[in-house]
Amino acid sequence: MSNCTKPLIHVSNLCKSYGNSKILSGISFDIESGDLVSVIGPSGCGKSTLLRCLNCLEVLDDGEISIDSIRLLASDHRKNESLFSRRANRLRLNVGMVFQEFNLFPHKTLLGNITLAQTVVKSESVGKARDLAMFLLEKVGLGNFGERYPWSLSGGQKQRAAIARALAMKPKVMLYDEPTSSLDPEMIEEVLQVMRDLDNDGMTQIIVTHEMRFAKDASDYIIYMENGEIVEISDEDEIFINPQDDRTRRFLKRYM
Amino acid sequence: MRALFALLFLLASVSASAEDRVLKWAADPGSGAPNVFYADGDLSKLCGFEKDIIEKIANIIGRGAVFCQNDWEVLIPGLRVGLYDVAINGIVPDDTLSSAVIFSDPYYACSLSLIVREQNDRIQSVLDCNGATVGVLQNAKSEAILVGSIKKINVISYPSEYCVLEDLRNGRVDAALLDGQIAAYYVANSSDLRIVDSVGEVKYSIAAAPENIALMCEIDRAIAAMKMDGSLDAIVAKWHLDNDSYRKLAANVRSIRPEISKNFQEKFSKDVKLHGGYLKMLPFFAKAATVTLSLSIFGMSVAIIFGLGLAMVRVFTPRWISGIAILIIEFLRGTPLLIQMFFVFYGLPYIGIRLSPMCAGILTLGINYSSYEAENFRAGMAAVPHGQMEAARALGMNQWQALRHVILPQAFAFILPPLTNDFIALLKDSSLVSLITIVELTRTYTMIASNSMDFFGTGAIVALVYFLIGLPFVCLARLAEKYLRLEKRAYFARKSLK
Repeated sequence: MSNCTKPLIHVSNLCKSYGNSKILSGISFDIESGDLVSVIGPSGCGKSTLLRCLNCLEVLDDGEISIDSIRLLASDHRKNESLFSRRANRLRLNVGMVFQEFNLFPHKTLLGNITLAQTVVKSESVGKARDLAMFLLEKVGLGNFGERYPWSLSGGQKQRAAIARALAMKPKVMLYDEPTSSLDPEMIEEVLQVMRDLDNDGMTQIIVTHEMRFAKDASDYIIYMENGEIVEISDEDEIFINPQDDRTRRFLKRYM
Repeated sequence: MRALFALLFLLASVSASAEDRVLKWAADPGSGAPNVFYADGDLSKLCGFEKDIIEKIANIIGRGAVFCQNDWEVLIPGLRVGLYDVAINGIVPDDTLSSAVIFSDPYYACSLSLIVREQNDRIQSVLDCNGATVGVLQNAKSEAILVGSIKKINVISYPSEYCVLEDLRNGRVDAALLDGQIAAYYVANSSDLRIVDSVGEVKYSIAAAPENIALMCEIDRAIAAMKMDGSLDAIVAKWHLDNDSYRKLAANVRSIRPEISKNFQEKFSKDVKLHGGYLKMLPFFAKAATVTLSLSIFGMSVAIIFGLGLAMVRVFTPRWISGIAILIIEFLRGTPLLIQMFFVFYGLPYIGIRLSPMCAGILTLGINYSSYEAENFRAGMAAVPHGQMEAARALGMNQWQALRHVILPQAFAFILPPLTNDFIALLKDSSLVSLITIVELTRTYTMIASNSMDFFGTGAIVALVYFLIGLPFVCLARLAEKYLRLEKRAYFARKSLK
């Protein structure tokens, strides 16, 4: 009942390390429903790991994540692993993820890619899954490509198909891990446009990106990270025109 | 050049004259006591009553006896290709053999003994064997006697009497019909078996190649001399092999060699065709091919299923469980298939697991090959990019769903070529089951070839049959490869677009 007043995504004191190297330390933020948030920062600052933690592809060492009132506590994982992973599976259903390398299933057509998880995970009927897949392909501008295999598509088309595949699970949040980094420049815009359209539809999106112009134009706000910490969270104009932190200023200078 | 030839000629003549003074005799110690065997399992202590006899003969004809080891089934073919001068190992002359080699006068005779388990009261004589399963030695006369005299009988032939008696003990066969002296020797040494009946009579002769007719005459004279002076009796008595059949034989010292030798001169001067036509063999090979094929197909199915399981356990379980899987894989592929086969067929009955030959064959082949398939599957799964698993998990699939729908279909495309390889290898390895009494292609080959003395033509046929039954699977795999291989599919599609 009180969900509507709560933020859709709540992260507090999130910590993650590989062996002795600390990747994330004490990350906390809230994201409201419908926001488009860009995460920027130098390579190796932990922004991809943050995204993967949000989708439980990485298990958090400490802190908590809650998305749409499903709460994941690092301490739960230590106490009861199977309960944690069941809850993580439930949380994942609310979260769509798009990868830098697309990760489309090469042995399936685009329709097969988009219907697979629907039929397997949600036990959706084939007909219904197909209808939704066609609708989503239309939406990302690939209406005629349903029977094509991923290898026959350009990078931009693949990434749009990957977005459609994630949307088919009807997530509440979409996560993008450098969605345009392995694309040719002329294909970047078509992918960004899909994300803008989704923003207009009210989708909550978190994007790890190096596209500063897109981050500036489309984001509701921007998270700047360095060395596994959030340096600055601020309004998109604010951070680009008048960064509060020296580190942010130095980073942006190289990009703008 | 001429000098070289001269030297070679000299060497050849020297070695030939050296060979003249020895008598190379062959037997299979593996076929067991008391004929020719290794005492106490010590491979330096060859003994047996036939060894004593042949050494005595060699002594009489003034040659040194040299032992040559060969498998019992191919003792006669070995004579034909000149590996040794004579074979002496419980060989009973019959019509088919007589067309290939010549035989001495018999040196020993006995009846066949029917052996049953101590607690078996049902079978008291050979006639009680109606409907029963009886074990015999391969290529032995007992099979003909049984099949000829009893209507409903299942005869299984074994490579050695150890195997017959092992299977009699563990109940795969109800009775065993073995040469009297063999039966007596083993039953005397085991409390759980007994002899209930004696039938027929077999006479052992020494065999030699037809061109050694002169040698054979000498041997016949030696045997006659041994019968006269009692040295043959002494050997038979030493091994406790005395019986009525033998006594009758020993009393008759007249050699029948002159007539036979004339017979043979006629026979072999005309260069007789030995095999009875290949067309007649085809039904046997066809039947054997279906056995080989079903062994291979079922074996491979077991290998794929069990191998997939092993690979899954190895990749996706905690360390201590996957460690067990690794141990199983390494053990299975690190030990010979033949030993596993013997272990499963003859060893497992000790702990109460008695499998039919076909079952044991399929299981052993399948489980042995599962270790290779497990590694294939592991390599195939490792070849699928990690992002595929992450994408599947991110879409909400659990690990099993991701494996089933995303990883394995792609992995299968990678492992199809090595899988086909292994199937062909298994098809050929299936020949090993001939050692656990299954009559498949290789066994059919050795049976037909050693009877018809035609290892060349029959060999070519059986090789062709192996090749032909493997071929469809190779073609099928190629097709599937073309279809499944993603890069290839891309390649062909692009080509057709242009």
